[in-house]
Amino acid sequence: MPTNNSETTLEKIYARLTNEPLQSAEQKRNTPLKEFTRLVRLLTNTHTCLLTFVDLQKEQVLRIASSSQDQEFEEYLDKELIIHPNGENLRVSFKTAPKIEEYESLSLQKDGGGVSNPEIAKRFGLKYFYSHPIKIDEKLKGYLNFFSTEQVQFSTSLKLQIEIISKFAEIQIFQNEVWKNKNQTLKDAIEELANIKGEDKIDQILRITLEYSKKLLSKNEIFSSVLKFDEKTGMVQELKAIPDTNEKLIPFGNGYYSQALIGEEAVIRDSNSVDWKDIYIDAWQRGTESEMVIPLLIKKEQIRFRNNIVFASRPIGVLNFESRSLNEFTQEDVDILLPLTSQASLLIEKLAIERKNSQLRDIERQVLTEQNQKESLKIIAEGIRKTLDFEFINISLVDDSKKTINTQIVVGIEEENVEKFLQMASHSLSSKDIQAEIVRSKKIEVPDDNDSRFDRAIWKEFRHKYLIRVFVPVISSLTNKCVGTIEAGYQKGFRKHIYESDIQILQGFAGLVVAMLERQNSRILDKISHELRSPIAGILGNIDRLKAHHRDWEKWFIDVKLEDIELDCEILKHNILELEYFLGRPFPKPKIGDDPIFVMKDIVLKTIKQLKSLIEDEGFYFDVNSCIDREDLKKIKIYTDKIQLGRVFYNLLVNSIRYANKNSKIFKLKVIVDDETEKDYFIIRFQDWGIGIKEDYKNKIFDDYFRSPEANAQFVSGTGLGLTISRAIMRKDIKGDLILANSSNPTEFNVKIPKRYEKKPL
Amino acid sequence: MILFIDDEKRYVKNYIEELQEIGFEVKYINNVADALEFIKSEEGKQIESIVLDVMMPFDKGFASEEAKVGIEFYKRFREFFPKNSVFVLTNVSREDVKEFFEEQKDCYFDRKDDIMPFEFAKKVKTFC
Repeated sequence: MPTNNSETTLEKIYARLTNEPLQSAEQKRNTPLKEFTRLVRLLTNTHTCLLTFVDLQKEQVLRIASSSQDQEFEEYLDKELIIHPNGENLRVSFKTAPKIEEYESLSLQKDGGGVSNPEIAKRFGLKYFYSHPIKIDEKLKGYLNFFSTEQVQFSTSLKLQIEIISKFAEIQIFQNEVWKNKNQTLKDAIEELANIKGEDKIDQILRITLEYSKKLLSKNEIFSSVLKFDEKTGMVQELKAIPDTNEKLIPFGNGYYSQALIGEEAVIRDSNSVDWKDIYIDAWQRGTESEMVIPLLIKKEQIRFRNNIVFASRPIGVLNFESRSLNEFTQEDVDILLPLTSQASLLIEKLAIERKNSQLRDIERQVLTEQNQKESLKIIAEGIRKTLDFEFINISLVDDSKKTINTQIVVGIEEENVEKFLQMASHSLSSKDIQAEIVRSKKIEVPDDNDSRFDRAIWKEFRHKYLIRVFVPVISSLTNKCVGTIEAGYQKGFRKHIYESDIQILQGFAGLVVAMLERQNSRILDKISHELRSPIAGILGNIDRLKAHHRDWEKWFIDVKLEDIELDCEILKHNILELEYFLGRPFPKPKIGDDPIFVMKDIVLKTIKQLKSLIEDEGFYFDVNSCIDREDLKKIKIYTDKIQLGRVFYNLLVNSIRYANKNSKIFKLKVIVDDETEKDYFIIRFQDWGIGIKEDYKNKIFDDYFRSPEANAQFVSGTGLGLTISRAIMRKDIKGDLILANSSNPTEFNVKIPKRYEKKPL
Repeated sequence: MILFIDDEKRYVKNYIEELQEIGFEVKYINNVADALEFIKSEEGKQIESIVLDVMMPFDKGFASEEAKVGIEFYKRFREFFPKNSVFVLTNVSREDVKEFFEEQKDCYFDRKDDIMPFEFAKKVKTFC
């Protein structure tokens, strides 16, 4: 509750405002300003705030409301904070008060609305200052200032809240003859609107607005209705007093509802109007002779066009009034309803933003518990669709190693075309494609529908010319680098704009993508670090044992330990390659030796022998000699990079060991050379009889960091990079390929090596 | 008996050998699910202390983060063995994991690259 001190101040202001004598204690509690104070607290949820009105005409500063519960703050305000643009004319002046020119510059904002000004807030030792111009009949009358000792995040929602307060203040301060009798009705309406609880709040607001509009109009025997506009479908839906599943849907067209929404102003017509008969075909049913349609609009809603913010109105619905009398409705009726309809529209917008923010927070919770990147992105994309009603969503991520940006998730195209889209939607970061440009510029953009930077093939194939869309960069909070983009849009129809308030929420979703990537990177780094330390610990452990016991051990056992050390060094080299891949470092250039190499003998067999102890550590019996036919050993003799090709077979074999069938005592492996099937390639068929690869994961095993659920069931560790790196080596360095040929019994990978390297490359 | 839980046998065999050489009976299990079954079994009653890795693959019923699987296993182990010594031997470098184990009673935390098999076996003998 406000302190006694502030009540006294309010009473004086009230008296000054209304020229009415101070009232009794009982009456005081019901003064409009007391009510207004309550409203401020209700709408802003701010415990310590102050509203002052700078009356330019009377050169007065009026402290019109305070929601403070803090005695100290109240005292501070009473002593210090009296503000006026021409400070010296005031009873109490304040050196650091905003000067008149500052107010003027504030009012020059494009939307004519209010602005927050952190500089002024700082000057007063406050955390927040917001000034809102008060206009009556488009004439500037003064400014409503909102101060707070609390840090306030300036958001569209808060701006709307303050606009609501300002609207009320306009009525309170400038009440005229018309309003004398209607003031209480309006206050009741606002109070009821502010106290709405439960589901379907927007419908309730519309119904309450209609109910109080009728009271404010005070007309006998008028027919009234309220209709809600659905931007997505363009349908206008009539809301009944009691919710009804059969509520009528009316298509957007040439009627008065549409005229009012398109023209953004009230339409008043009677049966003598020229367009009456064309439009009002149902008039005879109720005997209607005159009609008034009031549009419910969010005026000056910020929208994004290219890189700029401009303004447009957002239609919400209409209030419709009909009478059997001619000339029943006048402009004065429109004026009477304007404050209430403005408030209702603002409240609806505020609720919509709150709902969207709340949904964003729900989705954040879901993403936090999801470990898999693809699944997280699916949750985010689906969240964008549900929360913001976008029909097309494309989340793309930058691939640092390939210097490309690639679509990860797309929503809004037919299921059977998704794969095709994913293949087409990969663009070089140095290209002129719009996504590449957003990565470079790091700016939000709503491009023209035929912007030349769109990929024409995608644009035509997926009917993108009908879309209006926004591109939001996904920027890492750690590196400030753009790591991807979110593209979201809808068919151009009744929704013609991308609203800034939706873009703000979309940025929240981009933040979720960043958080997910950073969490995943941290997890992968943990794993890579773990994988690097393991062989180091192995080497150190063996050295420690050798130092302590080598004199007591037989030579064969010492050799086992030395071989272990050698293998751990080899494992360490592979793990370092994974770290380099994770860090986005390019692979070293292939080094082709002077002499040709027998791939099967010098690479494949050598790798198998090297990893034999790893197989035996897992408790398997393994016969090296049964893996390769003697005849195959000398079949592939080529000039190649022995180390790079060795890495491919190392990864394949490590995978075979990790995913071996634990119920079997024998580790079975077969490596066969096929030099006949393909004219230009040798095919090395690498077969194992492990647990196999499920159909669902056949296309995913070469993805970065992919680990099948079986990896956990088998208690297999690893980063999920082995096959990714192997395929990259085969394609980039060896100019061949790595393919999954069979998923189980046996699991077969084909390593394709170009035959042309039988001759030394130039 | 010492129950030794680590998914990478290759990197703990020196520790196991050293423990065996100074007279401990060591039961090695490569995953937390089987280890949990073992501690509930009749044979599990012989456990004097455990050596536990932290970052391990997990199956249903365990933590959703590999780097914390050991922590979850530790909590379950304590339900059955509230006073037995736990030797955490891991490559995990995360401070939050280290802090957790250092705050526990009768629990000793070491990184594999910081403590060699011989030294580790001595430590187990002292605190077991």
